[in-house]
Amino acid sequence: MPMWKAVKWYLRGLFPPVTTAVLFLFMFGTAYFSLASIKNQGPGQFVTLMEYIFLPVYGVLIASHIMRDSRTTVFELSIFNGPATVYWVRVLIVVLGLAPGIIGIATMSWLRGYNSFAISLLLKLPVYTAFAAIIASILDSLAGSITFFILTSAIPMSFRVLIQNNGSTGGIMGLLAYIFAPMTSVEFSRALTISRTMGYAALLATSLILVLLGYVAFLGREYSP
Amino acid sequence: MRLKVENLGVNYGRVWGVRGLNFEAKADRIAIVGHNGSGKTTLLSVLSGLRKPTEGRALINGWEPYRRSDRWTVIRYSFEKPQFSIPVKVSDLVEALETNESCNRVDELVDALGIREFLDHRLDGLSSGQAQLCNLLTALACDSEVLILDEPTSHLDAYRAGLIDEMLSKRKGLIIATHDPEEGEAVADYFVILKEGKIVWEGSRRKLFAEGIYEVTLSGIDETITGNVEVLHRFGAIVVVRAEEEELIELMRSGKIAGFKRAGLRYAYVESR
Repeated sequence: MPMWKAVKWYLRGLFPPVTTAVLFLFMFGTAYFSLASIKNQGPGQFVTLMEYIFLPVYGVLIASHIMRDSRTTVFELSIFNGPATVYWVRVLIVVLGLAPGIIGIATMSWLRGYNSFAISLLLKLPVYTAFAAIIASILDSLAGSITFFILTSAIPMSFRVLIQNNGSTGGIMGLLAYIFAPMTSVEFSRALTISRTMGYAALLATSLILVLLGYVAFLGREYSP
Repeated sequence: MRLKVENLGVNYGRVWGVRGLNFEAKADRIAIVGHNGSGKTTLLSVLSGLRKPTEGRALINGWEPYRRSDRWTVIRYSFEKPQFSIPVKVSDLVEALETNESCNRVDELVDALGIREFLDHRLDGLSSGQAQLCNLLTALACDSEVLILDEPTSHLDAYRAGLIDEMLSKRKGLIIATHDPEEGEAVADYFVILKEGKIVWEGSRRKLFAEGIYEVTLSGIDETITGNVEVLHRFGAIVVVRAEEEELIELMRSGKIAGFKRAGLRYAYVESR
């Protein structure tokens, strides 16, 4: 069956008009003013507001769209002849949903001259997509949304505390810092002993592995109607 | 269709939904009958390939449904009490099914089931009956080797329920779960009655109706039956009795009863309690 029918199916309701408008207004407004204040106050405000608050909330809004209850998933699997179409279209929909907000803020950072933040923001796209994909393969809507928020907000926040307290951080923790909290890692790049390139490579590789693992998990998922 | 279940057991933590199920049936339409919580849906979840059994195995036409990667097209499944929390219109569902090459009866069923009346409604805003019709549309409109339906008419009005039963009675490769004896009898030619996860009765239609037990409709709700008739169970004005057919014909002539028929599934069902 044509893939675009499934894409159209999942695009329905992806951006609830009022919620999206309010979130975008606050998110872009906050990004604008916090970027403007970096010169005088440093990047802490921008990183905190984006990495721990606005982007996770935005991520939950988009990811929760594909985290459907078991019965709805079984219904969709039946309509679209199995898990291949459903899974990959869901992944595509998350990318399409996350792109406007993440690319928008990354562009604002780039225009202000903060290129390293722009790159770390763009890397949120694969990592958020990977988290959403694997969580949606295993968990239902509410549990999935909560887990997604913890992975994208609470864990990055804890890395800030870890790096601030530890000073120099390397090895596995350094790689995990880049995977979970790329913006924080850029802010504290001097405290991390691994290079930014290696951190970003780890992030991309982990994202790819998680997306593939999510597919395997989705193929083997069992349902109790 | 050949359905074989061998020592099948499914647990949910410490609780077993079904355990030690064994039966073999060769029939076009099989009804799994039982009370609420008897294990019907658990058995169907294995037969439809939605989950693997904890122990034992189930075979449909020689294959285990939960091991087939193409189970989503070979088996069509409609679950009980459908609720769709998705912001998609019914017309989107119809469009999606129309482009699915294995679904050839979409238009015909949209009209027959009255779905065209609410094409503009969203799936998350449908009544339980309308959601049931959409669920059934997905299962019935597409070709499949096996069709598995869990309480297919539970939320439907009598007219649409009759329409669905009429369609199902002609379908091959059907497994239906129901707690409604009339629906089971209207559709199936082999019956399995479950109680607390175990089989308490199984057999063909011929075996079911060979018991010599009748279901009698009384003329008045307070009417009592006299003569050589043994009342086995009462359901208001419907009474299950053991009697000679001539005796019942006499009672009908005298106006005490409005009619009677072989008790079939209702008797087997009540006896299994």
